[in-house]
Amino acid sequence: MMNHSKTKLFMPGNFEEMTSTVKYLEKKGEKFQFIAGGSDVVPRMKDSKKNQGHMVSLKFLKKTSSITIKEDEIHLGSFLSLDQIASDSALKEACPIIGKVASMVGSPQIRNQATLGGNILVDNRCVFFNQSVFNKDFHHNCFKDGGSQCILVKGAKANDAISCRARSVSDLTPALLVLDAKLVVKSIRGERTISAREFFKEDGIAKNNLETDEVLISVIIPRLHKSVHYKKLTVRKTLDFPSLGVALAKNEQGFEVAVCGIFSMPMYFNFVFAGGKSLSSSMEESIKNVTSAAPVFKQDFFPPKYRKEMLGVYIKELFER
Amino acid sequence: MVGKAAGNWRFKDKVLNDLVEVVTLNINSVSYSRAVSSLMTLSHFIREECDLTGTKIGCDRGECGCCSVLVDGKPILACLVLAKFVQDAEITTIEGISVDGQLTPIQESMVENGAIQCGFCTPSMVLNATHLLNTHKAPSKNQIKKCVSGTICRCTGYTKIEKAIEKVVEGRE
Ligand SMILES: Cc1cc2nc3c(=O)[nH]c(=O)nc-3n(C[C@H](O)[C@H](O)[C@H](O)COP(=O)(O)OP(=O)(O)OC[C@H]3O[C@@H](n4cnc5c(N)ncnc54)[C@H](O)[C@@H]3O)c2cc1C
Ligand code: SF4
Ligand code: FES
Ligand code: FES
Repeated sequence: MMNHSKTKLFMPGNFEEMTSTVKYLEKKGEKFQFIAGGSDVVPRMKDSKKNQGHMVSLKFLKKTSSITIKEDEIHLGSFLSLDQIASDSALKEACPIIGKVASMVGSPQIRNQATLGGNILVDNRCVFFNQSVFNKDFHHNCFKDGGSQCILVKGAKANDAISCRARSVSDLTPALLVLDAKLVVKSIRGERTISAREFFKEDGIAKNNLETDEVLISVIIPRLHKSVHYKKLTVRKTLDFPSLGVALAKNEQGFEVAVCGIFSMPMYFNFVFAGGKSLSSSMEESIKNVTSAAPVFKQDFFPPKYRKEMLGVYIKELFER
Repeated sequence: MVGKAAGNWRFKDKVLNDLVEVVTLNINSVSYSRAVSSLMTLSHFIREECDLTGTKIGCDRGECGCCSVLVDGKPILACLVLAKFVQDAEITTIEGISVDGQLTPIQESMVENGAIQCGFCTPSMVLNATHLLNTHKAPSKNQIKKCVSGTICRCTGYTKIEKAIEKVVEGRE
């Protein structure tokens, strides 16, 4: 029988209440995690063999989460729902790709509850972790479930630089990387701003540079007037996480591209084409750089070879748009 | 290591180990106060604590859409929301949409157009369509398709459900 300590949902009414809740839990040595829309945390709580600890609600952020469009930047509150982002006409005008990608996440019901912050921080996924506890009883617990092995990568060690290869699946992240977005995070120690390009880690458990008590408050997108395109590989048009997601912006010297769904972190690349080379050979070289950036594992409906191939196909297609 | 019971029952064991709290929800304009697990989901609260079994639980993981309910007028998935999280909201389940026991236009249209077979997805389809029809005077075919896209129907093939929504829109013109 699983041993789950007594866990609770805390509903702080403001930032101060949240920090005092977190301080109390830390002092008691209790595990906790934040919950925003819950569309990622709640299924994880049901499917995880490891006790996920207490939940601390971030609903108090709802009051202050808004869309502000300035001359040089766009500020998005982290508690905005994906539906709010997808249906905002001023945002559509100022930066169309964000709403477009938000409308591709999950299903209409999920987009009504899922938040921007939760999407950027959504957990990495792996076939051996994201399944029911009942199914998981038929194999050993992996690192992500508090066990002592990785089922996907045989021989991986807990203290390896990358112990878990669960895929990064946030649909919005590639577009935010290409747009050079900044993330504003806040804790009892104060506020800091991190570039999205320096935020993620290649490990499917560690995932990013956020401290456990830090809350993502808002996202700042510079208005660079880049034309960014996004394409997502899925079996169905709704409800599916990206088996591959590619965001691309073309410029005079080459192109910027970011991908999700295939590696254990969202990857960003900026390719400047060397003079004297043909466009097609520059493209081939860039695509090779992206597909060989990290290993691709058999942990999705589509086989790794196919996803790598499609990565090249999508890059070419988006470049030619 | 081999489990004896299915995943959902294991989850039930798990929630029973969580701290118990009194949660008060406003469902279909009725206030329900119940002592439940702090981490109980809205779908279990509605079905097991309030006996409102019109809301279905299919996958319990956000994938089938059958547990849709309206929270402050918008459809969300009750299996992905903790009951305590929505204490300040107005929740509407399928039991709460009819007025004076009369079927609403979309419910009638679903019956007339053969949009119901086994009926498992029907409460969710009706609530999602209700939200669409409340927010759009004349939704496009594409918007209707999007509206049904978040709920899996294994029986009808969706076309009759889409037709039922279209007929309500036609009736408005
Ligand atoms: C059936 C299904 C399909 C899905 N399809 C997709 C898809 O296609 N693409 C996709 O990208 N996602 C998908 N998701 C995952 C998820 O719904 C979205 O990523 C969503 O945006 C998560 O937001 P949330 O507010 O619900 O997150 P939550 O579940 O509340 O939180 C997610 C994580 O972020 C942390 N967190 C949330 N907000 C903050 C914050 N402000 N500060 C600090 N930490 C925070 C939480 O602690 C948690 O670890 C799907 C989920 C389901 C169930
Ligand atoms: S990559 Fe390995 S450790 Fe990570 S979730 Fe999959 S099986 Fe578990
Ligand atoms: S039971 Fe909630 S989506 Fe399937
Ligand atoms: S009528 Fe049977 S699932 Fe839709």
